[in-house]
Amino acid sequence: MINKKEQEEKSPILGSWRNVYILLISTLILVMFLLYVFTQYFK
Amino acid sequence: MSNLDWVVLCVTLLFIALYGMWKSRGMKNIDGYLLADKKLPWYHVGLSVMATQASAITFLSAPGLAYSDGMRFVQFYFGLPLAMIVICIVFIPMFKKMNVYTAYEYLEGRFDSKTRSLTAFLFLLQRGLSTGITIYAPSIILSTILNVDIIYTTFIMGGIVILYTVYGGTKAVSYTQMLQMGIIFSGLFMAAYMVVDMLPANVGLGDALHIAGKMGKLNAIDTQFDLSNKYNIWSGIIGGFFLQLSYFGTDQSQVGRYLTGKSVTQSRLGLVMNGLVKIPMQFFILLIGVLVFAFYQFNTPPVFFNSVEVSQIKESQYAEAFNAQEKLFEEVHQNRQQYVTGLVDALDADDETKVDEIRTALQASKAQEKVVRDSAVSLIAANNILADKNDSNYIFLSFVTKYLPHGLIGLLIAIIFLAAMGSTASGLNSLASTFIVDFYKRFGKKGRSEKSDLNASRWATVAWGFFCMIVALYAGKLGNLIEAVNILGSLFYGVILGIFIVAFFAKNVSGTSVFFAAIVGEIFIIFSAVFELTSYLWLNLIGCVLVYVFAIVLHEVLPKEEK
Repeated sequence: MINKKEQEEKSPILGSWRNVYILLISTLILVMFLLYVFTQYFK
Repeated sequence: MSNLDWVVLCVTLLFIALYGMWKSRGMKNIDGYLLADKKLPWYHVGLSVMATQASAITFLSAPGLAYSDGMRFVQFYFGLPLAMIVICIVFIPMFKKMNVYTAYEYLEGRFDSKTRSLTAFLFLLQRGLSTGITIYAPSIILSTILNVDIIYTTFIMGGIVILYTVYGGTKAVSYTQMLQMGIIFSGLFMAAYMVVDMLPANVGLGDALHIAGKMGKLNAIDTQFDLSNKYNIWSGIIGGFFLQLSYFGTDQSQVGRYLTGKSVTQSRLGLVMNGLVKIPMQFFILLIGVLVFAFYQFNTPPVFFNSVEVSQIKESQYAEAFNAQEKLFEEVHQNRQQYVTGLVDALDADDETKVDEIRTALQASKAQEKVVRDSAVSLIAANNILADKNDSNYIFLSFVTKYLPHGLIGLLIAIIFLAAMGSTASGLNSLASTFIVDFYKRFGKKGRSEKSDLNASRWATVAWGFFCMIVALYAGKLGNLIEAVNILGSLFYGVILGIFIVAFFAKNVSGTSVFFAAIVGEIFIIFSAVFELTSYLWLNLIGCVLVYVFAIVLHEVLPKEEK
């Protein structure tokens, strides 16, 4: 279905696309946590 | 606006437009016009994707929304990074492999001609209406600063964007968007700095945030699950994920941006950049609105932020009654300032009992202020039955023009125009691409030259531009624009996404099944929206699931199609 060569194209950062996606998810969790702290602190 | 502001505004806009035209010179074929020859690097893709989503509405309406409703809108974007991951893994390789101009082209190969046409039609309808709203936003500014009717400013603004998009195509759109984002970020940082700087000497950023927080404006996270609540962490992650997946994965105004990447890697990196930057950027824009709210606790705001409506009523039979309400509003607000000053002192002294006491007094004062304001708004409505009673789109603009120093006013207004130009240009470009590729080239006369197709694309851009300007004339009735544009998208995005999800993951389902599933799903979504069965973000999830389930069921029920 998906061109294998393109699917396997290596990420130029963090070694693999898997790591790039983990970075995105980790950043999202961190941002949500910081916003929660922000909300509670100024409530 | 002073002469300095006009110079800054005109020079910035002219520079951007000439830069875009210079970069896109020598365009000879439809590939260059619609996809910038697929040669752009990741940072171009990323900034172009961000600029397409961040329209003038973002910079006009989002601070106004934060002013009136607090920061909770930021949760709307929580699904975006997750959607970026799915698009990077599934959508980009698929579109790149098929070498398509539009996302809908893929559907003919996978399903059939009618499913491609239906999906492209749903997109044209949704994007045509949304782009109309996008044109309306900068028209508000022109109308306010020139003090002329919004009908004229809509045609001026629409006309400028059409000229610029028709000439440059996608290349001009992408190149100018990169520059626009740089100017936009610098201007916003300056605006935030100025708001804090204009607070009273004894009130710092921390105090301003505490005041806003005590008055319920820093509600960035709401963990309560409630289907009728528009913005909470669950609607943001789940509903927002489906909305963003559909927007970035199937809306040609975005697909057209990342298809310009010179490889799968460059397109993916552009979207990853968007996933990392988007939430902090939106948080910052909303925070500016909250700071404006804090500023107006120490300075009396206008009773109604739309200055054109205020000028009109002041020349009418209701002028005396309106002036009386305006005076009363000022008195109530000035009385309130003693509580706000008391709150700052109580916060500094860390006196929780006093803080709670003042908060209760502030709420009572706020309720009194609301009654006066509502009376003033009723007078505006009585004076002009067509008047827009929601003034939240004018809050930030009113603050900028009244309080910021000359030069910066021109720059901030230029930013809002640039954002409008970027997103409207992307919208018009995607409407023209979809119309040409998915309808004109398929159903029109065959064997036309490249030049003839290029000319047809330009004419299609002009025609869609006029359609959007007509929509813009009616956009004032839709309330807060950033919400209106997302509600409108939610009516179609779930169904369109459902069609693509069936295409990618339900390999045996045929075109006829998904075609009828999409029609039934769209009728159900419109029905849910009209009767307000749920808040709008959930419509994206419901639409997608309905199409998927109906398509599977119909596939089992309908007679099998011959290949």
